[in-house]
Amino acid sequence: MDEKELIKKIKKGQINLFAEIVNKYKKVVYNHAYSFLRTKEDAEDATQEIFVNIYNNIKKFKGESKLGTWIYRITVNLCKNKLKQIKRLKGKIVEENPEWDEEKEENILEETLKDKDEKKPDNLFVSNEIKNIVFKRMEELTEEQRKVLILRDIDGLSYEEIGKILKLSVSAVKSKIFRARENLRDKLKKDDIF
Amino acid sequence: MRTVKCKKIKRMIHEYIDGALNPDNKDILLNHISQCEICKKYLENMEKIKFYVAKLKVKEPYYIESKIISKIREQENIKERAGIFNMGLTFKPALSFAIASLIIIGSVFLIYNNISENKLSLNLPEKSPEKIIKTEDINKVRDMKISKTESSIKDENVNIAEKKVIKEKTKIIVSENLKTASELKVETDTVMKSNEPKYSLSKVEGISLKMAKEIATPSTTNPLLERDKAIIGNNMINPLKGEYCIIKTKVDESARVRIIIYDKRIKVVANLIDEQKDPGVYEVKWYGRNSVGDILSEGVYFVYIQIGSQVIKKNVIIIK
Repeated sequence: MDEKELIKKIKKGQINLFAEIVNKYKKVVYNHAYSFLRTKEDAEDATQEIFVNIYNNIKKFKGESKLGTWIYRITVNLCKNKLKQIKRLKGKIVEENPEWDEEKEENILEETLKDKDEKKPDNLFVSNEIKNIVFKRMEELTEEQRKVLILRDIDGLSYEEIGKILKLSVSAVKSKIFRARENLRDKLKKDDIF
Repeated sequence: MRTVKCKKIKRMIHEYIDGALNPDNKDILLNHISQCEICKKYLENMEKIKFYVAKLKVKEPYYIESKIISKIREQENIKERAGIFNMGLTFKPALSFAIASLIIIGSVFLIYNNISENKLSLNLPEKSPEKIIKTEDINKVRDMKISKTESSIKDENVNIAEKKVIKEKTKIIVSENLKTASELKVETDTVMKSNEPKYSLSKVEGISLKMAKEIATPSTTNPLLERDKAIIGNNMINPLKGEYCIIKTKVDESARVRIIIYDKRIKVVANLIDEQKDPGVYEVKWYGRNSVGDILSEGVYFVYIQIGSQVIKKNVIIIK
């Protein structure tokens, strides 16, 4: 069933089909919330809140944009508000050692074993230590820079999609990504990663 | 001149690694990189950054989907209840209007009746005593008065008798009500008592159908229970809906069996079982309540099962 049909049916009252949307987008929404809010607990709460919000507003979704873009817009806005709320309540966000998705790593390792000729030795495996450092340094970026980097490199969205979500022009998105990556590289240079 | 070009190339590099560079610019970029070591290094660094950031993916909790769905269901239930209430509200103005009009009609009717009765009573003296006095037939008047008082005394007697009957009837009804109330109290007490969280380890012959279905073993033996010595059926429960988990244990030799529930702060929340048990399969139902019977909050709870010297730890998730 394609998304349009799925939404049509949900709008007509087949709310049990909403589980399909949750199943499809839970990973990206949770990951975005985690990259942004940086604790498991907050990411969990935000993910729940985001999907409840999507569910409550699905009747307002007219299909002008893609469902994914619409979901991202809700995710980005809710995470932004949640971050403000957390900062106000907790002061500074508590850092924790993230549990990185190991399954992905295994797949990549499998891939490297398959394509021995094409492998790039330094690039293909990223240790958890490096991930922790990069994760920590990302917090030092500006909120806008962090947002575009998460949307582009973690979530894999196109410039156009990011522009639609953040209500920015494509050229503005490009220059924000450019600055964000350079800024992150400068910070990581201090950690001797480069 | 070269720096300006490099600046342009750097911007192109980001589009290139994002797969958004048009073919013409791609040729320019690759041509430049083959000659410029700085830009080549820059490309490598940016690819590395992109790769590192892309790897910052965490695994979502396995229960996140059920958590979301249960939240939506909970919200839907509240809406449904609110819907019924709102329906009542929408009907309320109509209902109150009907009641108000009934009261008005009723009161108008009563007032009208009172007025006409008053009129009658006002007319009466005009008709009787004065007219009688006017005719100077005092005796008639006296007789009339006497007969009236007699009849009123009679009426009073009847009223007193009626009142007595009513009183007696009320007494009977009251006593009956009191009886039913006391019976009800006894019933409620028994219900209350039965609702108190009492746990006992009941022996089961083989494996119950529910469990067999859940672990998909149609036979009477349960390999999982044989292997683990303790299993939990339905380890994600919503106590608000009356859901419960079944903790099953297999005792091979006569031993002391203890089942304790801990919260994530390793604090004992419920001490389910602490008994000496003979060999056999036993089960206990846990309704997600603590030792005083309060429903526990959402979260992961650890089930500590001790059979003799063997300790088995399991988890139960409480959702709402």
